[in-house]
Amino acid sequence: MTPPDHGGARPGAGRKPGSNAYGEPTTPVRIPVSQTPTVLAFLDAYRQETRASDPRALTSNPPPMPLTAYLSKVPAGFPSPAADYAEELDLNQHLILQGHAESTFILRASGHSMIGAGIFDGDELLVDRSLTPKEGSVVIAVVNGDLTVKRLTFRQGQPVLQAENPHFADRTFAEGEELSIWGVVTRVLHRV
Amino acid sequence: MNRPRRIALVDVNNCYVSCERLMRPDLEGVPLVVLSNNDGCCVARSAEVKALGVKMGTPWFQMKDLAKQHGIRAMSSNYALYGDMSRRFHAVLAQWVPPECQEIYSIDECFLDFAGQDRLDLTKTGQAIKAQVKQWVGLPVSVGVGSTKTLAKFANHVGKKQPQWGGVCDLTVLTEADRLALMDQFPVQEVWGVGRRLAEQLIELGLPTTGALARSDPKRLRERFGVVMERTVSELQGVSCIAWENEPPAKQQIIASRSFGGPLYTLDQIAEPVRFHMGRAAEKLRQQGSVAGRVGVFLETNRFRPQDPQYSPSRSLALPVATDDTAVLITWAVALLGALFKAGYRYVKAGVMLDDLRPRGLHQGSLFDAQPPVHDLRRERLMGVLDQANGKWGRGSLGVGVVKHQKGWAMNRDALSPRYTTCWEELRVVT
Repeated sequence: MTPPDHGGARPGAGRKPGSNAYGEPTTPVRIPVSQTPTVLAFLDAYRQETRASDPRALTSNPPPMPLTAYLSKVPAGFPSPAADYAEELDLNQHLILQGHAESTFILRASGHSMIGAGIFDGDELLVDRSLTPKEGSVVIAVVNGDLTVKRLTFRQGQPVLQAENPHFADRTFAEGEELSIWGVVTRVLHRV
Repeated sequence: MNRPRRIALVDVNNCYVSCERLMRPDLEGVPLVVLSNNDGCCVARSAEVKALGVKMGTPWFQMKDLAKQHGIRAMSSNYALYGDMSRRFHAVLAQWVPPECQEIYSIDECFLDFAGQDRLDLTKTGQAIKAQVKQWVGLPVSVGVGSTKTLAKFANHVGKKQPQWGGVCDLTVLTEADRLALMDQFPVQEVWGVGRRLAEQLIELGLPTTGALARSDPKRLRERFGVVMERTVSELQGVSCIAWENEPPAKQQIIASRSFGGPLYTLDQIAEPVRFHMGRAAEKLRQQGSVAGRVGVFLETNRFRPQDPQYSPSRSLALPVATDDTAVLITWAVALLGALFKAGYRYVKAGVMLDDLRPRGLHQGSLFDAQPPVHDLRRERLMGVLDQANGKWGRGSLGVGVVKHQKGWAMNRDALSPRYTTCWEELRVVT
């Protein structure tokens, strides 16, 4: 029996797939009656052309978009030719004598007794305990159990702690009285 | 002939007291103690206080009368200051030996191995080290030298106790007879690793002094006391048995706990410090690059108040997957706390423990995991941010869950000195 030459499917007939209002294949679904207006409103919005002021909804419930965090930076472009010559000013290196980080302490000056030496109330003092105090050194000294910053000089072989402010008297030491030096001031940090 | 090994132990005298006195010269000569967290017990005593017979660990409230009588001053532990001073101390010592020959043993103790520096006179070197540490960082130290760590530790003790040594004792220059005679002068309890209980048993055996122990047969003592004692005796005889560790080994257990400022009564109140402590413990865990397989929580009531009902429970559980995630660890800790907590007690302390620590990256998934544990990069970054924030703005600035302002459970630190060396706002002021 030969097949009939009429009836049945004809290639190229009917609506082209995707030729509907959505530009893609469609499928019939059952929806709850109560949700009909919502679905129709969504489909209506979905059919609209996308405009910058009125972006088209692709889906009402977007899937989460995972962001990847990288453990390391990815270099892009040319490496900087200056990288090999990178130099910067290191304040620690500048302010602290090389190899003396362990013996350097920072103290805060209070009062006006050393303004002649450029040490003002509230200034930070870098104090190196490893240095041996010399004639003329600005030192931190222990006087009556307290710490004080003064200039160390000697008079007739006896130590004298001098203020750098005419309103302050020198501190002299009697025979047998011991002067203990806590450290030698190397720098003043002054806020202008 | 091979020269014996020469190991020095440098140790800061009354470390915490000495740190306080560096910044407060007026406290020189004043009897001074530093108290443990919450101002509980003496953890450091000045020489004047030791001379009054106050023992290490004496609760402060038990010595208040004595303190009044002798004008003993007490200060709270200032770990920011001690930590910075300790770092400086170890850095100065690093100038004396190659890096692999320095073993930082504790906050105030350091072993130096003088291998390869055979010509050095270690008595003179010890004096030089002592003078340098005193000048550079202002801390008084004692130096002991021996052919093993245990002997160095003993020598250090001798240098401290007998003034004629001037704080430096080198056992390696003594003849064996002199060394043993010196050891005979010290009770066996002074030996490193011999505690009070062990000492009592040794005295019973007729070994009351360090010298007697050094003369005994290590093999025979092993039968009764085990391999640790055998090692101790061998070390006293100059046979090195304790390994050199210039890298501190990763911790096997992390504990974070502290007494509350005052008693706490409810689950909600106690959950706060538990979360806080677990936050700290997890941070330490990440610092050493480990994950924990076991979480524990404990609670304590005040054992110094016999009139109170006492309840000091502790419980731990194995985690389904080892982790270093603060949020996960806190969830488990709070669950454990809920299981432990019973109302009606006056709780004074809570703490958390992390056990079964293993290197991170050796994650082993469990058969019943819903999903194989994946390295969650975002989560890891989150923990990194947490640690950075707490490093920058101080402990407890950023945490998980509600941690109010440590009201009620924050430490009592009534006599806390400023962070002189680590905080710009608290620098030592000079006039």
